[in-house]
Amino acid sequence: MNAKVWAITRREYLERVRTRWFLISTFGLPLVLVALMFLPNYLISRGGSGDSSIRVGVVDLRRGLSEELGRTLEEGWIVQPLESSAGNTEGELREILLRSDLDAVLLLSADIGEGGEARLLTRRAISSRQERAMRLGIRDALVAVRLRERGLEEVNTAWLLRSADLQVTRISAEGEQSREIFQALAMVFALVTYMMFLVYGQLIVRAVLEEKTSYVVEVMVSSVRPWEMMLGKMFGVGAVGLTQIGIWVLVAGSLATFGLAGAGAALAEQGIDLSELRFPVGLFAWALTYFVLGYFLYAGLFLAAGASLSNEQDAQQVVTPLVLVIVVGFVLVISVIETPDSPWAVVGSLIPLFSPMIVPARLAISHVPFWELAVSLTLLVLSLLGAAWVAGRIYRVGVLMRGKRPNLTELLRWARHG
Amino acid sequence: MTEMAIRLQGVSKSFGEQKAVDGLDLHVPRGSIYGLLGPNGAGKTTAIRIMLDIIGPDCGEVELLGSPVDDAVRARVGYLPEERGLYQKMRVADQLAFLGVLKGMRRDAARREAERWLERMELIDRADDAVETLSKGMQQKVQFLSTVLHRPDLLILDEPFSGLDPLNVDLLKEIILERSREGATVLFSTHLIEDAERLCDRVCMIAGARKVLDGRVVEIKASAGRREVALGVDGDANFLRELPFVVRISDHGNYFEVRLADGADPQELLRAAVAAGVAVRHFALVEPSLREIFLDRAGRRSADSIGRRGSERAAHARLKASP
Repeated sequence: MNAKVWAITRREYLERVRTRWFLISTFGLPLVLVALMFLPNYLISRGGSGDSSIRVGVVDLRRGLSEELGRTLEEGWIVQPLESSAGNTEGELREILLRSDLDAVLLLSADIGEGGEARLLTRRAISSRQERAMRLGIRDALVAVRLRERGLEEVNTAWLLRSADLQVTRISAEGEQSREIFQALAMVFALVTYMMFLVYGQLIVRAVLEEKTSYVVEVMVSSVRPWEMMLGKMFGVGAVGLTQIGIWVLVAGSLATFGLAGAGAALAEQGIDLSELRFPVGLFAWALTYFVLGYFLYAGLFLAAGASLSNEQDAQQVVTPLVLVIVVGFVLVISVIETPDSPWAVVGSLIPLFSPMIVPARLAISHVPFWELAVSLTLLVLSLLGAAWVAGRIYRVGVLMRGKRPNLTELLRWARHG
Repeated sequence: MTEMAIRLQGVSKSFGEQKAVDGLDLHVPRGSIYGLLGPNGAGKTTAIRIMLDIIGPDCGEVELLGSPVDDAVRARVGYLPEERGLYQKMRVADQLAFLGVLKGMRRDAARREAERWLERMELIDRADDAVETLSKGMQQKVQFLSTVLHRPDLLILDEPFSGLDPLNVDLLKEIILERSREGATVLFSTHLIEDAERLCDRVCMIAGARKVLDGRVVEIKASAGRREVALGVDGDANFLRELPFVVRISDHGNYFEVRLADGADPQELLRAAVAAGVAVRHFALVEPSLREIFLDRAGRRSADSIGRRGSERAAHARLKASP
């Protein structure tokens, strides 16, 4: 590498790694990531116990159902049967609810389960957990009533409905591993790329603005060419990102190693041999490749956007469309993890803006044909070169610009003549 | 002919309707200290940016150190822009070393030089502080250091003395002279004519985007066509009144200020004094200052605006009207 580009890279890298921001984000981002993955489920599971019980009056037109419901409803509900003649229209139900001290009333229609429905009117907000409990409670009560009506009084409904766990294992060249681990891995890839693109894209914009806001730009352009500055910034900021990822992989890796080593004896007793667990090197290599290429594509785009700015206030506006693209990419990945081989997933793998997020996730949980990888990589490389070229031209003109932000037509003119 | 350190030929640049530089020819010989003078907004900074290929001219040719501006040339030039700026968060020594490396120095050499200069500027104890913690004057000195760190063959300084206290102005001038003695060419712009007069051997004055004066300071003064002699004598000075080339005499008793006609040789006056038998105690040529020449050339109003703010447009109008 050219000595000047190297010097700029080095500066951008060292000046960023030395900041408090680097320390905070290196250790903060994984916490956010873990929180994003586990907190919602944790809060939902914890939230249940915090719910106060809801007293529900049941108008049972089907007959026999309300007694069963009292048994099958899990905690969170207190069932109180009402006269079946009390009311069977919604208007009457509302009357009952408002006159009584009940929290809710439930109407079970006579043909419930055969086309008829159950209606619940409630005065209080109910949690999704309570709603689910009610849904399951009605199902189980219906099953019990139907069994009884066919003379199968003694059958244990819970036993009847009990199913088995499904264990899915994917066999591949790298050995067999449980689907769950790889699904989690896909999610981690997606989240890390998503967050890194967002954070580092905006970091690039700030790096590009730095010369202008501190007025160093003239000294710089009298010593180096704009493209050298641009490349130095891309490499330097990118290297900060890779350092961060490196730290994460190291920490996660050593935690996992110590964790597994500690559990080794216990696992061996259960017949699990640790030596059979293999680190999916190929998968991580692909993920890294896509991450780096994707970084350069987005860095080019953010750079082109930032090059035309002269102050931080305008930055948010210019950055927003790119941020939206990244968010769309992340939404796509979530659906791809559900259905890794859908047409959406294939199309998304070919679009350069999305492929850096989608392909690693797909590789983790499914098989991606070679032609798809080849086309996806080719398109990605071509478009990142294109983005860098356009960014270079805009940067060349924009680097000395001050004041009013150029509009899109002016930007295109810069790109053409820059 | 001496080789030129800077050569601009017919350089013009407009921003929209506004002509910033109009047909500028500039020839700066190697080894000279060259002043680029003119009121605020005259086009000095634009001319300098064009020299350094920071902006391209609309037309005209630019050569620095004998060739068009390329990487090799850039490495041999030190540039102090009018708008000062350093990386605020970066440490002083790191910053200087970084800028030195961009000029082609090796990192360790750049570091050593940086420390040496910081020592001289009495900033060595701030070497590891972030630039933003320095006072404005200190930051200016650091920035000036960055322009001489790599021992450039050509120094281009845009308003180098503005905002500095007299002590530091002298320090800068000392370094500029030192660099010049070592063979470097120095071009600096200023709106203060006195700065240029004392330091430069050549000046170029631009006003309203055009060149109004260019050449060696002594020649400009000589060709200003005004000669004044300060004469101190013991004896009768009446001979003065008979000399045909004497235009005006201010009599202070034993001391006279004598204005000579255009083209007259002051030596003639001395000979006449000796011939008249008076004892000459004091004989000195009083050269007109650049400021006075500029006043003569450009009219009092425009010259007044030099070194002061405002009335630039009026000044330009006057300058264009004057021959």
